[in-house]
Formats: sequence, C-alpha cells, structure tokens
Amino acid sequence: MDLGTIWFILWGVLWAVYFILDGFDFGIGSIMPFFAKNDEEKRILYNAMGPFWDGNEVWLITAGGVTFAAFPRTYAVMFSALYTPLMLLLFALILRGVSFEFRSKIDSPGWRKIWDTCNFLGSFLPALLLGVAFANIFKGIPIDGEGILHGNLLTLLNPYGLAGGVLFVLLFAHHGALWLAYKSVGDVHDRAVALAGKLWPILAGVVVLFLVMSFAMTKLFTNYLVNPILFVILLIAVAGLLLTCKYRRDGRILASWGASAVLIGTTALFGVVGIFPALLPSSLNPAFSLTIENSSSTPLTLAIMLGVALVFVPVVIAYQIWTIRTFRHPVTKADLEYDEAY
Amino acid sequence: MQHPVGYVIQNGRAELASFVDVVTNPYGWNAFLHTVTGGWALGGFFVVGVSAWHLLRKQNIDFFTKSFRIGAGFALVFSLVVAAVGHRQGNIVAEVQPAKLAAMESHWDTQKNAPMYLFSLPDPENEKNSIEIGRIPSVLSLMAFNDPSAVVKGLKDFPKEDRPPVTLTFSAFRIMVGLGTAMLVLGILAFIARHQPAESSPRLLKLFIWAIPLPYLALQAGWAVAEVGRQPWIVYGIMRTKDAVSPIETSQVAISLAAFFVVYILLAALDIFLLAKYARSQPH
Repeated sequence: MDLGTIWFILWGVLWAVYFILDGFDFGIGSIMPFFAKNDEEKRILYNAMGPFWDGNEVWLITAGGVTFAAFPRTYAVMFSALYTPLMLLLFALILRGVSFEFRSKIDSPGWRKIWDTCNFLGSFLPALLLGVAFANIFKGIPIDGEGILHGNLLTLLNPYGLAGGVLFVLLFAHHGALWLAYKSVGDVHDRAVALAGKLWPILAGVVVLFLVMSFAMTKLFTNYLVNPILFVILLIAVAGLLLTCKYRRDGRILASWGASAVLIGTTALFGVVGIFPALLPSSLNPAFSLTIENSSSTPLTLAIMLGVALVFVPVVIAYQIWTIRTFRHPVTKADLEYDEAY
Repeated sequence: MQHPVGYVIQNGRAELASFVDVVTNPYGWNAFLHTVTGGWALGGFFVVGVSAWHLLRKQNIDFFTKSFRIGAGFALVFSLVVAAVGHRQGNIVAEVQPAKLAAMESHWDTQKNAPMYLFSLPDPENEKNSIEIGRIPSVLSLMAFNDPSAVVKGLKDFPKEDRPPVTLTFSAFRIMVGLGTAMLVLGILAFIARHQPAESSPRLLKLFIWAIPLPYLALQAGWAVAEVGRQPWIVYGIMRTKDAVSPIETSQVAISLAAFFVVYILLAALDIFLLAKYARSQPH
C-alpha cells in the first residue's frame, strides 16, 4: 500500500474520530436550550462537556492539518471553494470556546444568556455546517480545473447537502444526549436517556433516507459495487444504529454511546471510502477532482509525516483517555459548588 | 517563509529536500526565542503591575510582595534576553532580508560605516528622509553586522516593487525598540524594589500599573515589523503576496475580515474587562 493511500485512510479516520468526539459536545450544546429547565441544569450540561470539548476540537485541527500537509492542493481548493461555510464554522467555534470560559465569570443572568446563545449557536451551526459540507464533498462540488467553485453558499444547500446537515445535527444530538446521560444522575439522567430514545427513530429514518439519497444522487456506491467487501462498513453502521437503541433500552448507557460512536464513525468512513481516491470530487468533470494522485505531497514528506504521526498520535490518544478516565464520574449538584466548575 | 530552506522547486511547486534543514532553520529558532522571551517579559510586567495595584492599597502585602518579586525577576531578565535575541534577529534579517532591514531604519543609500539617526522622517515618494536628526556614525553597520565598516544596502538598491512599506516598518520598529528600552528601565526599577515593594513610592507603583500595556504594544509593533517588512514577499524572494491570493470573491474576504475585526475587538474588550475585574479581586 503506497503512502498516498495510507494517508488517505488516516485522513478519513481523523475526520471520523473528530466527529465521534466533538459530536457529543456539539450535541449537548444543541439540545441545551430545549433540555435544561434552569441555570443549575444548564451548568450540569456545561460541566458534562467542560473538561472534554477543547481536547475534542483539537482533532479538527489535526484533520485540517493533515489535509494541509499530506494533500496541500486539496486543502487549498477546499478552503477556497468552501470559504464561506468554513468561515461561518470558524466563528461559531470561536463563540463556543469563549462561551465556556466566560459564562461563569460574572454573576448576571443577562451575561449568562449571552453566552448560552453563543454556546448554542457554536454547537448547532458547526453540526449543520459540517454535515452540509461533507455531504457536498461526498456528492462532488462544482469546481473547475482551476479549483474555482462555480456557485456559492446556496449551491451547497441542495437537497443532499441539507440532508447531510440534518443527519449530522441528529447524529450529534443523539450522541450528546447519551453522553449527558452517562455524565449525570437523577432526573437529568433519566430525561437524557428519554431524549435519546425520542431522537433514535427520527435518526434511524434520516440515516435510511440519507443512504437512499446517496444511492440516487451520488456516485458513492460505485466503489462498493466494485469491491463488495466494503459493504461491511455499512453493515457495521447499521449494527451501531441498532445496538445503540438496544443498549440504551437495557440501561447500558456507555455501551449505547459506544454504539453511537461506531455509527458516526462509519457514516464518515462510508463517504470517505465512497469518494476514494478523490478527496474533493468535482461534479463538473472528474478530471477536475482533487485526488491522492494530483494533490498529495511528495513521498518524502508523507514518510516523515507518518513517522511523526506514529509517535505523536498515540500520545494524544493516551492523554485523551487520561482525561476521559479522570472525569468519568457523573456531574452532581454538589460538584457545581467548586470554584473551578463551569 | 521568511527564510525558506530545505526545498527544491520541481513539478511546479516547492518540494521538501531536507527535513533537517527545515527544522534547524536559524531564522525560525531565533524568531521563536524572540517571541517567547517577549511573552515571558510581558508576563513579568503583568504580574508586577497587578501586584503594584494591590500593594498601593496595602492589600495582602505578603502575597503581593512575593508575586512582585517573581514578576520583577521575569520582567528584568527577559527584557534583557529579548533585547539580546532581538539584536541577533536584526543580524539575521540584515543577512537574509536586506530590504526589510533597510526599511526598518529607513536607510536609502548603500554605504559602509552606515550611520543611525536618532530621529528620521521617511519620505518614500522621494526616496529619502525629509528629516534626519542626531546622526551617529557607523552605528547602523555595527547593529546590523557587528562591524562598523560593514556595507549596509540602502532601499534605493532594490527595485521599487521589492521594497516594503517604509513608513510603517520604520515606525513600528522604532516603537518596538523604544518600548523595549522602557521595559529594560522599568525592569531594573522593579528589580531594585523587589524586596520591599510596598515601601516604594506611590508614584513608582502607579508607574508599574500603567506599564502593563507597554509590552503588549511592543509585541504588536514587533509583529508589524516582521509582517509588513517582509512585503512584497509571502515566501521571501520566491513568491509575492499578490501571487498567492486565493481565487475567491473580494466581498467574501472583505466580509470575513470585517467579522474578524468586530469579533476580536469585542472579545478583547470583554477580556480586558474580565482581567481587570479578577486582577482587582483578592486571592483566595
């Protein structure tokens, strides 16, 4: 297997892991205005995300960074063609990050309301935008031979793009509700489990719809039909979808979250494997697509990067596991008394 | 990109030739040390200033005497180090970015024993300085190359399209050095006062409070020198900024730039407000 393909796979995996991780805090942030009944409950939700969101968001930087270093032409075209949605994403993420740190610094309901709004926008919009962006990448975007987009933001809000946006919002809301259930007790816990239960059938419907639309409106299935062994990705996704419901009903919340993680990861990988060997397919003409072959860095660069990744990605995973283990206990009302609590 | 190394141009792009050359790039390491030590000096002055505020009001004297002493140490030591590393940075720039060095000093005519002027007013239109006061012979050569008789290239030796914006680069450089000098003086004063700062005159303590923004301004001025002085190059000597612009609508860039401006100013205002609020509060 050549370095280009290895890095393509790593690229896909990094995006999948990113969605699994930031997905749950985007989810909790998105449901907060509808779920939390008072300030105390809001703080429980903030603390369920608090120790994790920053480390989770770092995987976005890694995925973007890998795109830049391993596939620089793809990075260049992607950030120019998708300039507007990526800028919106960036500002949403800035507002979200600041909302965590500033919210509890002044004891005023008006102040908290401002940051709650920022946290919601900074959770919901990224979920929507990432879904729209990736659905469009899976379908192919109208870029020409110069990498220029023939269209604008509205072009991306086509039915398949919108379906992707709705899918990601639901995936993350469901994923976030399960994490919240894992990190809470009592009434909040019960309502979080119930919310995951209410979301699941809608999510399942949208997953099926998205698969059907992928078949009808994109070329994603071509790779699968040529290599039917790849259908195992979809089988695992369906297993994740079914198991997340079963485990939740059995009261095995962490397992349910794990199955939800598998569902999210395989959804991302389904698309990435479908567009292989392109990273940014062109809907105007396949010759204009950004592929491994026409956008990757030199073998020397890819080899050095691989060496660096083999050393440092385990380090990142290790400290991430350390964080998850340190903060594995549910957030209780008593925890909110600490100075350091969000 | 200020000093590209370890590359070869082939297949229509820059390709990596030597990873070792890239990670050992002296420009990069020196710039890194210069920015990091600048940050540590800033931290020192911040702690000194906040401590002084509390000491002026005789609050928690033990606590803030300790913090003042630590801050004073950082402030003095790293004001010295940042200046020394900055001098070295000037040497490097003189060697690999001579047009930037010329703009930093608004130096127009190539000569050996190049003088420095205490005060100049650049007149880039006419390729000279309309005012030059306080001529110190050979000092520019000395500062740039550690050799008073070294030849320092003047801006007129570069084609007009290869010269950076002179007035901005020159002003930013002088502001940075001026503030850096002030930081050295303040660092010395803080260090002298470090054992019993509560006994210092109220005027001195107030000076330390008002000094807090100075390192911030110095750092910003320094970045202006680095990034304006590098123009017109985005990759020095190889690619011009205007050739690196993405093929997107000007309106998209204008709107996103305006948005950054607004969001960052709001965040800065909130940040300063919160910093002041917490700086004024008592430790617990």
